[in-house]
Amino acid sequence: MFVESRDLEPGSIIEGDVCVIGSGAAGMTLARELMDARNGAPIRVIVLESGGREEQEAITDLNRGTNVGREYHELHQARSRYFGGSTNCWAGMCAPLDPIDFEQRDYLPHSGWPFDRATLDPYYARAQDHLRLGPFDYSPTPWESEGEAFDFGPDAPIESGVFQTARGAKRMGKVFREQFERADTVRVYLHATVTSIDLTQAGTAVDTVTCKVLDGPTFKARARYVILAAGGLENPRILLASNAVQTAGIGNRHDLVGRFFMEHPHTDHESFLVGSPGMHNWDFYKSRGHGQRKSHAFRTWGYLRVKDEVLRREQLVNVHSVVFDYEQRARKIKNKREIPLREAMTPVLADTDGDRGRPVAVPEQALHFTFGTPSESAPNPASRVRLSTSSTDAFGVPRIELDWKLSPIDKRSVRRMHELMAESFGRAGLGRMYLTMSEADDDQWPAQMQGGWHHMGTTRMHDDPKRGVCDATGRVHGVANLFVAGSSLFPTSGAANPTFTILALAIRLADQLGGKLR
Amino acid sequence: MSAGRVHGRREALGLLAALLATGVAGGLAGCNWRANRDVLVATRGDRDAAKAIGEAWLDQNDEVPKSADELAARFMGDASLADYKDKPNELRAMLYERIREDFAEGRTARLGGWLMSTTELDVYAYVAVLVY
Repeated sequence: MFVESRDLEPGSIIEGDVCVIGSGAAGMTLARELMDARNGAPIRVIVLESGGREEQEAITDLNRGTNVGREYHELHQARSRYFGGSTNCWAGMCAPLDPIDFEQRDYLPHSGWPFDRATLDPYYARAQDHLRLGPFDYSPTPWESEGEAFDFGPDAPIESGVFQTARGAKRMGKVFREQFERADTVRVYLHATVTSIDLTQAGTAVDTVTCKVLDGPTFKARARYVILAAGGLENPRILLASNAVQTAGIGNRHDLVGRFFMEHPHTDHESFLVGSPGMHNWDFYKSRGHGQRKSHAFRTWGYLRVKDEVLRREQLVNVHSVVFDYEQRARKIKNKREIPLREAMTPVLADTDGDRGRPVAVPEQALHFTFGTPSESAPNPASRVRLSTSSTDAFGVPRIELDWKLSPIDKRSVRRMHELMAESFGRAGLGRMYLTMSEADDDQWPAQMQGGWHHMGTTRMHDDPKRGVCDATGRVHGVANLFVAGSSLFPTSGAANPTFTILALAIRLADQLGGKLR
Repeated sequence: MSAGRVHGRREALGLLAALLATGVAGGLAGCNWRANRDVLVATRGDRDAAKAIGEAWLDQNDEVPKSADELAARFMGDASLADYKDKPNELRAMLYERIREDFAEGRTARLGGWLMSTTELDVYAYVAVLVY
C-alpha cells in the first residue's frame, strides 16, 4: 500500500523488517521479491520514495548537482526521482554482462567482480520475468527468424549478440503500481526523502533512517535490514552525508565511497557504413517486436561486439555497437559533417556483393548505416562523486559534484572496435566503413560522445574492505545490517546497459535477506 | 614478374571495366568481357567515382607509384595482367580474394576516413592514371 508521508506525525518512527531506500529498478525489484508470500512467512517491507507517483519539479530539484569533470548531462535530467525511479526514463534495453566483464583482467587495474557470470545467471533468468521479456537466451540463434546474424567466420574479431528490450514492463512504477497498492506487507512511503542513515553509537549497525518531507514532518524508519537503492549518484551521496558517527561517511574509512564512477561513453554516429542490400538481410540488427499482448511485448535488437579473446589479446575494454539506419537517424545526428569521398564511395561500393549474391549496381540502393557504440569505461578512482562544500538542497543536504573522467584505454577501445568492424565488413564483402575517431590516445573524444545516464561503480563490491565499499552480497563493510543495491555496486561496467544486472543483483539480495528473515 | 602491359585505349577500358567490377566486389558472376565493358565502362558515375578515389589515394600517399605499370605490379603481385586478358571473371575473383585477405591481415589504409584495402586503392589509382 501507499502511504503519504506528509500525513505522518512529526517525530514518528515507522518500523519493518526491511527498509528499502528508493523505488527504482533495484528497490522495486527487491520489494516485489520480498512481498511474494509464496516464499514463506510475510516480511514487512518499508519503501522510502523521495517523490510521489508522478514527477514534481520541487522533488526533481533535489537531484541537481554540478559537473566539475568531463562534460556531462545536467544531473537532475539524467535520472528520475519518483515512484519507479529511473525506470521512468529508461530505454528498456536488456542484456547480461559478458563473462569477461566479471574477470580480473591483468591489463585493467581494479577490474574483477567477487563472483563470476555463472553466479548471476539464475538471477538474470528471474529478471526476465520481472521485465516480461522472452526466454533467457541472448545468443543470436533464437532471434533470427526474420533475418540472420551475419556469420563473420571463426577467425573474425567480432561477433553478434542481442538485446531484449522491455516494452510492457519498462515503466516499472506504472506497471506495478497496482500490485503495490494491493500489497499488505509492503508500505511505500511517498515524499519520504532520506537525509541520513543513522548508525548506532558503535558505528557497526544502522539504528534508524531519517526522512524529511518538503513542507512536512521529519520522521524516522527502523528495520532489521536497510537497503540503500537510490541510484549510482544518490547512494554515495547519502553514505557520505551520513557522517555523524563515521565522520568520513558510512563505509568510507578507506576513502572509496563515490570513487570509481563509471558511465558508458556512447560514441554514436561516428562511423558510417556503405554496403549492398544484396549481401545480407540486416533485419536481425534492427529493433523488432515480439509478444502478442501489449503488456507482455518486448523487442530484440542485434548488436556487434568484440570477441572476448580479442579484448584480452589487444587489451581493450568491452565495446558494443548497434546499427542505426542512417536515413532514419540522420535528423538526430547533431554534427552533420561532410564525409569526404562519400559521393564517390557510394556508387563504387553499391555493388559490394563479392561472389555471394546478385549485383546491385544502382547507387541509390546502397545501404547507409551508422552505429551507436556504448562502451565500458575503465575503473578509475579519480572519476568520482563527492559532496559539494558550497551548495545544499532544500533539506540542507550537500549537493553532488560529479567529476567524471575517462582513461586512454576507453577511447582506444572504441576506436579499435570501429576498425575491427571495418575490417570485418570489408573481409566479408559487406561494405566499407568511414571512421572518424582520431588515432591519438589522448583525452579528446568526438563532440557527440555522451553518457547514457548509467551511473555505476560508486560503492563498488570487493571482498577486501580496503578495495571495496561493499562485500560480495552488497553489504557495506563494517555495518552489519546495511546493504547497497543497484549499479553503484558494479566493480566494472561492461558495455551492456546496467538495468538488467541491477535487477539480477537485487533478486539475489532478496533471496539472501529472505533466508535470513524467514 | 611483370604485371604485364595492356596496349590500346579500347582494350584498356575493357580491362578496367573488369577491375571496376572487381573493385569492391565483382559480383557480376557470369558476365563476359564485353558485357562488363558495356555495363560498367558506360556507367560514367562508377568511372568518375573510381577516379576520385584513385586520385585521392595518389594524393595522400607519396609512396604510391604514379605509373600504371607500377600500380598494376602492386595489385597483381606475382601475376600478370596480360595473363588475364581473356579471363575477366578469373581476374575479378583473384583480386576480390586479395582484397579479402587485405582486410583479414590488416593491409588497409584510411583514405579520408574510409578504411580500404590497399589492393582496391591501387586498383582505383590504376583507373585514375590510365583512363583519364
